[in-house]
Amino acid sequence: MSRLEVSDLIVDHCPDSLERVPVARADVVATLRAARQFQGARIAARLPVLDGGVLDPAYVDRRLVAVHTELQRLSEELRIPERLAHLLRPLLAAVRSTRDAPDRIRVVDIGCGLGHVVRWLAAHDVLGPGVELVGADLHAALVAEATRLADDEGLPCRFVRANAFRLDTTATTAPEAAAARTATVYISTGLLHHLRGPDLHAFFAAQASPGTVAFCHYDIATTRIAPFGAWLFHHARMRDPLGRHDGAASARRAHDDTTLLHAAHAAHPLVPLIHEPTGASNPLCTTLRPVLGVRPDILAPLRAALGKDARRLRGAAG
Amino acid sequence: MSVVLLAALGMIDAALAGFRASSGRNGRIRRRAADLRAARRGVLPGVFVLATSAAVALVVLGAADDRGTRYAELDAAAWRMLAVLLPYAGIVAVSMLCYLAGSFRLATFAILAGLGPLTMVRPLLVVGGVVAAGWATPAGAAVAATAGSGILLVEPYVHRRWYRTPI
Repeated sequence: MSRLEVSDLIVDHCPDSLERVPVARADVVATLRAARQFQGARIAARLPVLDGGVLDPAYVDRRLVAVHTELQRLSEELRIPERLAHLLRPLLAAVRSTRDAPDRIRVVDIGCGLGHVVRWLAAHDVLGPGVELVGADLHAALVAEATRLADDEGLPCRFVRANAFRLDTTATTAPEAAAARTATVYISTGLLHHLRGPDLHAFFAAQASPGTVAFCHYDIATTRIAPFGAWLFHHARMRDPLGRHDGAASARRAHDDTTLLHAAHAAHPLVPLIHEPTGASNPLCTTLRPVLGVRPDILAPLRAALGKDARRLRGAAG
Repeated sequence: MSVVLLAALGMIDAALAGFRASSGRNGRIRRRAADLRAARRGVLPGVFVLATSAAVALVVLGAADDRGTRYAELDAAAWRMLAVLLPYAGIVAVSMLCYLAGSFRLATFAILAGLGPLTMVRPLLVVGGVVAAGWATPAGAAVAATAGSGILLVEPYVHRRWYRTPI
């Protein structure tokens, strides 16, 4: 059985309405004990409850915001937004170079959490003109905190609630952009390992809409040192036991390159690729690597835009 | 010389401890001023630790029958402490240089192979420095234990005082 993350269990939403569903603490504890994750069960057992044994949603929200703020520190240290931008720049250049190039490109970060990547991209303005930056997350508290942080710094980006399996373009489209010819590029960082079995395929399938030109999803590379590295870093950097537990579990849940490439085929006709595959990269220099999907006509311009970095691409297209 | 080196090391460590205390608590992107403020907040208790350690050193020196011998004893203890801490500080400095000036691949390497593990072993290194300094010299042990325990308390103090919750 795959390891579980406490944060995945303590929040639940109705997939259609996105309404928050109450979660019983006893159920979370029982699930973790059944998975023989006793430390996780102890963490869950200490969470405060309301009448009826339901987890206190306000407390859970505050705790998750705090954990995600700590998690941002790791993203900063590993320069995840910079890595993403390094690949997004040639990807967007390739999209712009096509014959039917869109007027605008909407970059949507799915499962954005506190929107660190989106806010970083907005603050550094590295993707060129005509790019709309949107962060999407299911959890209202995280979306609210991401919005607060972006507003506080006056960053040109926005955050919406959305279900990763039912990406609603009306939710992610700004009113002023609706009239323009807009292409969408989906991105994520550290989301894929949360998705198991059919959910992984469904996640990619949800992005196979006509308006999607590409996706670029970074997740933990399944190297031999990844579990130890995740344990070390989350224990060295994170103060919250919940964050430490989930961080150490995350590397054990990561998908290998073959699984990701196979799942990414669900986004047909986008062509699935892996950049910096685990078998061909130094694990001490590459902790996360992306699975990419590109519209077939963008593949050649992408290789050209990547230059010698194109040799790091692997996948169905060679 | 040993005192100056230890004091400089202590102040740099206190500033970095202040920075670490604030890390993971401020989600903003443009944060240079906030990071500098956090480092300054670490220096304040660092100065207090330094002053307390100096006071303890003066007390043990003043209580000695032969102050010259006691001074040499303390100086030798300080050098033993430096022998443990300076190589560590050197590796941290090189790692930070690689992290700040290198490409993101080199920065990742510097974090994974250097700064991450080094942060974890820092308390052990400080304890090792205290043990080396205080080896067979109660006077050296008193001063080193004061400095070592104090420097380890800077980060938790700054964290609890200013960064208990996200800001």
